Amino acid sequence: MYFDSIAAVIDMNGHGLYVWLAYAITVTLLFWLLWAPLRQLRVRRLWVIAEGHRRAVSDEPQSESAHQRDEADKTFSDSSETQG
Amino acid sequence: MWSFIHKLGSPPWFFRFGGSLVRWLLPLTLILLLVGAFWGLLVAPPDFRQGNSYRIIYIHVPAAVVALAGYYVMALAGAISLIWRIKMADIAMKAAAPVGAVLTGIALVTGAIWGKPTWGTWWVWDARITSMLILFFLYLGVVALFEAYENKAAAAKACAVLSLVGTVNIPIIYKSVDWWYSLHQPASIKFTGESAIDASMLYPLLLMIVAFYGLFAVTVVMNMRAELIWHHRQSAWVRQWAGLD
Amino acid sequence: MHPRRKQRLVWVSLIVVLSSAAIGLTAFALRDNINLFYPPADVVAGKAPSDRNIRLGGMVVEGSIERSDTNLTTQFVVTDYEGSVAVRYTGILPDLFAEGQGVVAEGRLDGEGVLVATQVLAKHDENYMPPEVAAALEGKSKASVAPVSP
Repeated sequence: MYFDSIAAVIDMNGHGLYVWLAYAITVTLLFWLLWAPLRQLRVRRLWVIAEGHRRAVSDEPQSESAHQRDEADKTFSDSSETQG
Repeated sequence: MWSFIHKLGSPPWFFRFGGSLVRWLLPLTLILLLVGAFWGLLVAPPDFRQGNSYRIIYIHVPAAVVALAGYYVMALAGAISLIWRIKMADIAMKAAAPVGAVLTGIALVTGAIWGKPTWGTWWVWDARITSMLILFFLYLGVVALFEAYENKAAAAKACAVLSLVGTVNIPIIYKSVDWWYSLHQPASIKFTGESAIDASMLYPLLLMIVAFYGLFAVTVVMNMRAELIWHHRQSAWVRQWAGLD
Repeated sequence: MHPRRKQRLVWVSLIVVLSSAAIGLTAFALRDNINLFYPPADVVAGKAPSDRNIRLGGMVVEGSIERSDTNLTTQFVVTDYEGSVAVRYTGILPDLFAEGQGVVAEGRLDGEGVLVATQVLAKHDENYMPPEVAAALEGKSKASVAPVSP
């Protein structure tokens, strides 16, 4: 270990602001990079499940259900935004 | 070997394979990142001239190295997509672009933060920094182009051409500090001959570079899995994955 | 390989080769603008314009730094071992500014060939080492400094 106190680690001989700012920005961006696909996968799984239930409930003709699906897609993505 | 490559093109197989890859590679990468950051920030000695500000090297250099290598991955996927029309290559290209953009962004921002105490300026329009900024825009261009097209095949074609044209920038970035007078210093890690960086500072740097490669692989595969699910949301294997049927 | 795929491979190769050639030629034509600074030898030889701002890059000559007692003006000589140019600058110098170190100064040449700088940047090199190692290398190693393994 190079530093001998927490204060020295934070200060880094006056360079602390630069070093910690750089690391903080990096950690934030990397966290987002990992979190975004996980959230996307979760949201899409819920969409597939909801779609499955819709299909099971309605026995409508193909074109009608396709239209409904688009509508459901829209409302779903809207609600998922507020969820996130 | 060939059967493995063939299987990679199969969406359900890739989805499962990618899932198990992420399960062990993600924890391993996070551990490497933590160890590397701890080592670089707290254990490694300061630089004789720059003091502690040089510790930014442990994120700046790995981010830049992997951003460059990642561009080749994206361009290669683009070439495969153009020549063989393999859907999985389109998906890989689309998955790599945002990761590369973020890594290039990290390299630029940390470089600016490092530049202030060492050079005395946040930004200078020298060859290395400017060509790196162009790389950032190339990545963003591919991301934007994928969104701009309704037709997925047309989007993939346009993105593939853009990424192939952009490959010329990569050797320029590498060699910019040797070809032109720049403020940015030449590379410290040398593949031939002795590196210009002391071993006590080099080892954590190499560790961080490996960790960032792992991070690139993990995030690209995770993006690809999310993309695959959406492409095949009507197929039986996705419904099965979601717990239906 | 399937002939259609072969044809596409040719197209892909053409895209890469032609765009590389185009950008390579552009970079070659613009090489003077891509260089961030002029070396002192070029300035001495009169290759740098004197009617607008230029950047000068090189090494600060040992023992050439003269600091004013009354204000923040500093004068020093920048060299590339083929030519030398004096620089005058008023302002705060970066931490890494020192004799024998790389520097990039931006400003305008006055009538006597002195660069009146508006900005001075420190240019560090690719060498990173702990302070003890640097001290040992300079031959100042004392008994207290532990021997460093290679």
